Amino acid sequence: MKTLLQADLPRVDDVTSRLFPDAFDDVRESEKYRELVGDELRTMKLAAVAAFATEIAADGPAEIVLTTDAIPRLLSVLTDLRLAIGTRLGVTEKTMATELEPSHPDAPALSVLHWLGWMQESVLAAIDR
Amino acid sequence: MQTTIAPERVERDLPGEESESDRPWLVIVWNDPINLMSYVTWVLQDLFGYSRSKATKLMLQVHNQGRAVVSSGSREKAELDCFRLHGRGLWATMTKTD
Repeated sequence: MKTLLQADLPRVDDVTSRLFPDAFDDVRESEKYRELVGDELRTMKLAAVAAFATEIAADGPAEIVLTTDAIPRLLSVLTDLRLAIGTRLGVTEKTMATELEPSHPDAPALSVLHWLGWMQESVLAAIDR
Repeated sequence: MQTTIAPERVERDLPGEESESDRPWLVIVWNDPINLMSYVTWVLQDLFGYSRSKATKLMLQVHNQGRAVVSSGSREKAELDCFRLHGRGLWATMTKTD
């Protein structure tokens, strides 16, 4: 994820396009918007990933104590990871609901995607208002 | 071939006529197959201060109808809202009302 964000890929890459979507129908307006906010969005996402990576850096199982401040950042990292994996896999609503054969080449990535979703649901349930 | 000026740059000063820049912009969130419904609901509550029930209603609109208007206002406000929504991984665009 860090590599992807730091690489500042041209937007022909579908994952980059999903992480930094167009704000306008109009191409020129979208480009202006991207010039305005692109760097800040990228910096925010990189900072969240870096902080998360530090938290889970130790070998073995990681136990993270969630403070109120850390929660939006964690949710942001989980979202970006899910978006990157899901977009790369080209998932649809249907494929998200379908279980793959373990031998299917997409099966490992899809199960990571679902696991990250479970983790996100858990965090959201924990902060449930 | 004529070039057209983008509408938002034209400011009409004719008396009695509303300036182009006064017309509100709408911020739209689009459905995507990846984000969790619970996550989208939470983002709408967190960013806009909506009640859980309003946020859920908007989320269901996104989910069932493909899109929902989540906020409106000046261009600057809409850009800021888009930026914040993109920061949370939602797919948002802004459009001027007709």
